[in-house]
Amino acid sequence: MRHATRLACAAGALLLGTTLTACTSQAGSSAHGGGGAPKNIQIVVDTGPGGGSDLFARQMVKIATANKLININWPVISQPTGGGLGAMAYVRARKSQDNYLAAFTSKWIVAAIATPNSPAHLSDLTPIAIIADEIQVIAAPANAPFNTMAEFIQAAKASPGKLVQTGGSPNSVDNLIALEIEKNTGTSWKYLSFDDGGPRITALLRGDAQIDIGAESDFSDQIAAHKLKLIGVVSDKRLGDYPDVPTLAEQGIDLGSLPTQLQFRGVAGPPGMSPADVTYYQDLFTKLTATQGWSDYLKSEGLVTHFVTGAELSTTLNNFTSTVTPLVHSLGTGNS
Amino acid sequence: MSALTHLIDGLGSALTPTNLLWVAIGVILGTLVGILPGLGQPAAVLAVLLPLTLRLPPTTGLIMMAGLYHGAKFAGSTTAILLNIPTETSSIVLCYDGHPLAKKGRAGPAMGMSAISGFIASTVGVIALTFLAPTVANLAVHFGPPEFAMLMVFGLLLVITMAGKSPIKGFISMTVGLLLSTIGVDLFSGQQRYTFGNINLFDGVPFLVLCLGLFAVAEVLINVEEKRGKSLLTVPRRIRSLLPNRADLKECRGAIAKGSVVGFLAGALPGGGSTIGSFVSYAVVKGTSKHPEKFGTGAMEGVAGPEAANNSEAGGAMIPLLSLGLPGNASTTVMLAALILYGVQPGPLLFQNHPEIAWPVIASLYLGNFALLALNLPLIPMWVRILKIPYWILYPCILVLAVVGAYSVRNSIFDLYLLLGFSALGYAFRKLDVPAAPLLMAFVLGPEAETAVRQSLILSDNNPLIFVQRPISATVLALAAAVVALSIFSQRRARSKAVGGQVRGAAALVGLTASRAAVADSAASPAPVAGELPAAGELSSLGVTGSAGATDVAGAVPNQSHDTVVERSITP
Repeated sequence: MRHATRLACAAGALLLGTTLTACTSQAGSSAHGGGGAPKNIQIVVDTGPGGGSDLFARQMVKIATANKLININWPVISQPTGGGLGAMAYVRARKSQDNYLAAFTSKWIVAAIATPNSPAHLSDLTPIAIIADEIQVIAAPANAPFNTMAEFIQAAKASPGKLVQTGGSPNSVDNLIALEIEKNTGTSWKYLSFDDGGPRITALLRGDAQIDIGAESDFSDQIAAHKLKLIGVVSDKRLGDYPDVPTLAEQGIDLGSLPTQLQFRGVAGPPGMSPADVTYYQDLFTKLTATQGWSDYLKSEGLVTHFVTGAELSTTLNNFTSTVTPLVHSLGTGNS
Repeated sequence: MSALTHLIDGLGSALTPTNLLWVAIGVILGTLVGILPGLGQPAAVLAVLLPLTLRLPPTTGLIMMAGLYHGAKFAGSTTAILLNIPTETSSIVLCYDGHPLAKKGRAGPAMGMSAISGFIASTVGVIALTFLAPTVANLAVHFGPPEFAMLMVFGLLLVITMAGKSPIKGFISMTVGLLLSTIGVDLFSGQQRYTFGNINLFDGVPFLVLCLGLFAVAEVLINVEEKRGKSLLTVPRRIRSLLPNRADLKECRGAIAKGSVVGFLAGALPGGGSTIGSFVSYAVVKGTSKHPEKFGTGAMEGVAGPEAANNSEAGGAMIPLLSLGLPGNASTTVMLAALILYGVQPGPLLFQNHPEIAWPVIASLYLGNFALLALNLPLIPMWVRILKIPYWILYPCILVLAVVGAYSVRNSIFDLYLLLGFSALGYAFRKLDVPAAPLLMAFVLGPEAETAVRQSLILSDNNPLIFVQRPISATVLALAAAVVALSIFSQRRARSKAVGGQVRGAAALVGLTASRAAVADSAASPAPVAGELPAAGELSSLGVTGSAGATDVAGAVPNQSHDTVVERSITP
């Protein structure tokens, strides 16, 4: 008898815990009725607390509050499953609840292409605007025998499949850039994946890898310490901080139909967002990206303002998707 | 000696009444958060508190974060010792000796030893950081994939040598851990493994959920089933026996020293070296101990060594963070974020450009540890009283905390189903007397071992000689062989015949890891399948010798019937 009581006690506690957590997950999902700005706005990100998108969203909210564009802090909701897929699915499930925003990145589009039967695509949501772009640069050890990406490609031609590029997952933008260049120049080199940025830098410093594609801010300190150097910029124009580093186009390297804006960040709403609310958010982010605090923050992160909205936004997103899809499929993942 | 002057200046600027107040708040908050996993993991709490700390001056903010970091670590040790629930990777090892000590009625001394050895090790860590940072940073840069691979294989070998009374059961537990760790999207190909298309599994199983199911819920289930007295464990009346005595401290001097050195070096490796510090230090301490036979049954040295490693690791982890701008673990990642938000970019130029930040950071780390010792030593009697709470209050509390904790990791209901599954697994393991700690260790080390082996083979065009051609890698391999040999030798001294099984178990493991890497690298070719056969063959031979070993010590092991059942099912 006592035995049964104890078991019942334990089961009750387990049930209570489950119910409590279920409640908190439902809290604050009150749909917005229309008229005026949406209330209780929450912003969904794809990284855990302290991760890249989390910090970006928090900074965005901080700058918007400081400039009195919004009057209360928006809570940041972390949905870190599946590299963006979890966050997309979360917002997609909140159809017409216009108080939910997703802070998306171009990785979300790639992740959905790379995943068979992906539970969500960015096109399921209501994209509002692209607001920032991270210019990709190519770094090499300071003592490397090449000074430009063109010279690196020459070296790669001399010993195919021997040189090493380090980076993240094979679906990341840096590998897609490499695949396109390899395809267009008829060369090949190795791709060494690390899931963190730190070991990529040490791989360069150690000489295990010859190049790494990333943001300017990933390398700036090591460049100042004369440990690394930049050998190319994946953009239409040169960087303000490193005016001597030529762009890939200047070096005669063809990126094919791949756009130079590859690592962008933007905001999207749930499916079926009302046009009035879309306009409200478009207006808000137009004002936000015009503030001084915003440009200071972007500069410190190695980002540039890249504001695209309205009809141009869907063209940009569609172009990116159609260019990247064959590259991702050439890796052997996703729906074939 | 300018480094010393800077450190003293740093301590001077850190030691203000306001800072002391904030460090105390940090320690208390960190301890609470660590004790109640539902409030989140230390890294997550650091992140949540980031906006708050940014309102404080940089030094004060960082000092509070250091206090929080140390408090949470100590709390992880507390739950592992008192309740056998490790909530952090670094406290898994405490299940081997910390909890058995609590069962013997020595929970207080074990916790005291944890705090004291942690403080001593932290001192060693800060001093080493002050004087050796540039040298160690240089060395750490040369620690690449082959070196990590050898370190991780070493760690997995240790899991077997630590398996205790039944190597075969330890091996089974470890294999389940390795299998669980393969769930998720493969880093190298982008292919999904064992995810069944469920996005909740794309990033693998969350550590805390596995931990809470396997240990917390399973422990409650088993205890509810067994008829027990009113309180969990015996708690001694006299307050004096709540702290380690002189004999304990004397016995553990060597263990603390060894743990400090191992932990510091492990912490200094950028990108994931820190998890292995406590495992390696345990093996080193056990291998060089005068009483290796006591390990696993409640040896004070088995608490002192790993706890020392855990704390000097914090000093080590600051080296890649401050000198390279590369965080070594989750908590230093948040510290990095904080530094950046303060407008300081850690990196090779930090000590030149921002000495006013760099040195107080180091000083604050130390201050955090001191505050922990000062606040928590007097509180140990209170923590130990947790064990006096009647089970009908404590167990429901643990269950609620486990559920909330599992949910809070990713705000995902799916993780609660995982929790239920792992609770069932943990319950089955207890029933079959299979140890759960090897599973958890393999789960932590497995992916790192696999990644490093595959990265090495990419670099060397699939030539395995890369592991012995690189000097540091070869050194790690030699050290690993030495420590494993030492540990086997010391066990041979303790009990003569149970050794063969472990050596072969180790060989089978190397085969298994290598073949796993080969299978994953060239999934299409049929050759790797053949490569797996020797491992399977060795597994069966392990079963046979393991059983011989187990029957030899059958007198000491009450549950040999389980051994035979399990072995029969494995041997073809």
